[in-house]
Amino acid sequence: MSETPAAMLPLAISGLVALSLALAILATIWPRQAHRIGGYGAVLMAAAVVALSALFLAAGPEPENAATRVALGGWEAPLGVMLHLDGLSMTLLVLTSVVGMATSLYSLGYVHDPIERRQFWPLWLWLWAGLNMLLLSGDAFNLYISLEVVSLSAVALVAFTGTAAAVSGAMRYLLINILGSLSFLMGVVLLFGEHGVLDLVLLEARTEIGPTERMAAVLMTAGLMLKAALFPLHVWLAPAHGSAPAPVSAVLSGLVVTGSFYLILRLWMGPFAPLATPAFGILVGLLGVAALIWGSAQALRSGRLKSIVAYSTVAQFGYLLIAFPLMLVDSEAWKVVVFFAVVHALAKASVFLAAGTLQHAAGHDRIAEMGGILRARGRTVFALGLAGVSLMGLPFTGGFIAKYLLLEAGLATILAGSLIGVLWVIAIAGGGLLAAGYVLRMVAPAFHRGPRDAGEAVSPWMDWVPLGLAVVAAAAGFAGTLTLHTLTLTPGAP
Amino acid sequence: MSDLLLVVFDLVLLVGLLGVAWRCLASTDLFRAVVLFITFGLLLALAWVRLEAPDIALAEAAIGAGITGALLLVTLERLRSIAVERRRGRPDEPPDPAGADALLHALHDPPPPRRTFVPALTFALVVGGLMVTALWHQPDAVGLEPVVDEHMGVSGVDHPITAVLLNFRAYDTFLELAIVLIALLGAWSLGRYDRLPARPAPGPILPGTLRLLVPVAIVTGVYILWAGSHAPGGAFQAGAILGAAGILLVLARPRDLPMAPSTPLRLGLAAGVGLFLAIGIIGLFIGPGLLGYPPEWAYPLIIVIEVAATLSIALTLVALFIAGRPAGDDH
Repeated sequence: MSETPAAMLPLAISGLVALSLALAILATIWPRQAHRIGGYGAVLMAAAVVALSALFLAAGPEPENAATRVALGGWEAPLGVMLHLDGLSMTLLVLTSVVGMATSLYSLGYVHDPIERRQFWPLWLWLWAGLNMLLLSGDAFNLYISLEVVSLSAVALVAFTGTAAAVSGAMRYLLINILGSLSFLMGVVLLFGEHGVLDLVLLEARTEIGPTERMAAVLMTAGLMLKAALFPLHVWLAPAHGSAPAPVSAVLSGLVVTGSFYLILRLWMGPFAPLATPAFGILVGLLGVAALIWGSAQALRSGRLKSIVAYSTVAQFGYLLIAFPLMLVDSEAWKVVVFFAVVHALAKASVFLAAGTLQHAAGHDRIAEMGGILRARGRTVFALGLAGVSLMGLPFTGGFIAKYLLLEAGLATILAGSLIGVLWVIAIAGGGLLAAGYVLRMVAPAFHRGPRDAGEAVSPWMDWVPLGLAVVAAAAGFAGTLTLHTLTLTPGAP
Repeated sequence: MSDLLLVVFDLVLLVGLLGVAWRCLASTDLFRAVVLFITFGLLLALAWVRLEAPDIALAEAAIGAGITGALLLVTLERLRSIAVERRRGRPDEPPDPAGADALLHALHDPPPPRRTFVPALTFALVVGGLMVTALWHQPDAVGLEPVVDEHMGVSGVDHPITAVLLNFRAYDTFLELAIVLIALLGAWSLGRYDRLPARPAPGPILPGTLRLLVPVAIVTGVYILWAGSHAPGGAFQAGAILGAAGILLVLARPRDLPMAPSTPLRLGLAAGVGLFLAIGIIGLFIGPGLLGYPPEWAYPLIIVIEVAATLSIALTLVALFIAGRPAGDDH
């Protein structure tokens, strides 16, 4: 091939979008083959993302012009829609493909009823395509539509088992999502009315601080916080994530909320960057501390395995909020935040998948009655524990590296003369202790004496995939340098 | 003089919109609320006409008022029939506070006292006030009209809105088609279609009217689709009109609903997105990029996509009205 990696990159980006959409459409047309389309497609999609990231790193551009922008249909912004790939979106695309592939393989075993299978796979492939499009979009209105694709398919996936709890959880999730989307759309409309463009890069160049920008920033951020279940807009999360089928919970907690968080980060690093003031940062950080305490307390109180995991998402997302004030002081801190989000997503997806296996074996997920199952299913409990250790942030896991870097950023804040930094450091360190509390609650019964009971048989996919993903989550620490390097290839990044 | 009349008309429209919206929200009777919602949609369509946006007016009237109204009404009918069935099953038991009986009560009984009224009003006033402030400061932005006008020559069509929807921002339109399809997949995932037992056989008037109405609706739909290339109209509006014709046919034959076999039905539902993406991928290799057309082929390709999209939208809307996946889908 005579073409350089940089020249092939646009074709590869369009190709990834086309591939993920084609899989979803094929599964919609032939639901009977959907699990095969999904199973092979997941591997294909992961391979495509690996190829894309290899091209991206090989292109090795200067940080200033690292964003590869593809004009869809050949129409450049402001007329057309631009796809946008930079270090930030590349990192999250890789995360999406890893969790997506693990979830797909797990679902081959989990969704075994032939009729349920036909409903599940098309919706899941649409959700995955939506996530890819969300991460690759560089246009405010297109981001709104991609968010809708993600939300709508996620809502349908929460409901698809059709039980009363699932349907009412899904209904609540739907209403929250619509509210969040409308709020986001209102902000987009305000920005378009003021500047006449929708492309994020063009918007960033034109933004000045005025009432429109403030209002748009509030509306769009509030909408996304609602979708990302960031404290205090988190109340919907536990019922929706707790009642969904296990692979769906894994994707919701691992990828969908992370996607909304990605969008908040992208907006505040781009068009809204001039609006971020220290006082605002401290307010967001305090919300983070509250989320950490409240989420952990709920997780410690809950008696059901899956709702412990769901509440821990609320708690762990507190870290992402605490990171906001750190980012304002230490301009490198945002990379740590993204790395933390990646490690959290891997660990959380793995915990949810492991919990799903245990729930399937036991027929319920009441911790108090699961002792026998936990004692008999060592492999799954090991996966739960390993991913849990990463959530706590014990040494040698991805979670440790992420927390270490976060603490370092917190200490830098103190050294920069900000007293409130002490609070951030205490919260980051203390949050790990709280996490240890609820992770131990989940695995402790495995170490008690008592009868063993393997419960219902589970498929090999459900046995091994959580373990594999937990190993990836724990080993993610070794990919820290690579991730941070990829993230420096983001335009505007220091 | 006519200016003054128009101002009076606008004011009446505005007051009407606010009044109907309030009545709809405050209504304690769900049936009345749905009827008011449809009225609201029609008034809103008029408002779009006054704002010189006939495309949105058409879409609002057809989808916002027409199809959404029909969906809401059929939902009400289903709720009623479920509640009646439950009550017949166990007449002595006290009603379940969260069950379908409670829903039936909500259809006619006054709602609980409004404890949330003051916070909700405060919230609405604050957000509304901030919005007005923000809008007050907005310049009279020209938006993208000059850029679009510049490129009309290479767009393949003569109507700027169609040029934006199917050429310049075809990606957005593609995803909107996908969203309609995902909504149907979601509805289908919840359960199989079951017939409404309570619905009586229609008298002679409905089929008679339909014999006159359906051909007119089909001609109108096809015209609106064809007009889209040079005047207000297009796939979404045409699809909604054809979908409405389909819904009328469904209503006229509640007992023996012909169910299309699974694969052709799904092919029809996904034809819009499928063809759109297929043409888009061809554009990636021989055209200007993903979802782009070679300029000389733009017009025929856009027409092909619009025809497929109209068919898919109409089918999807009828399927959403029937609710529940057809039995053939599970074999």
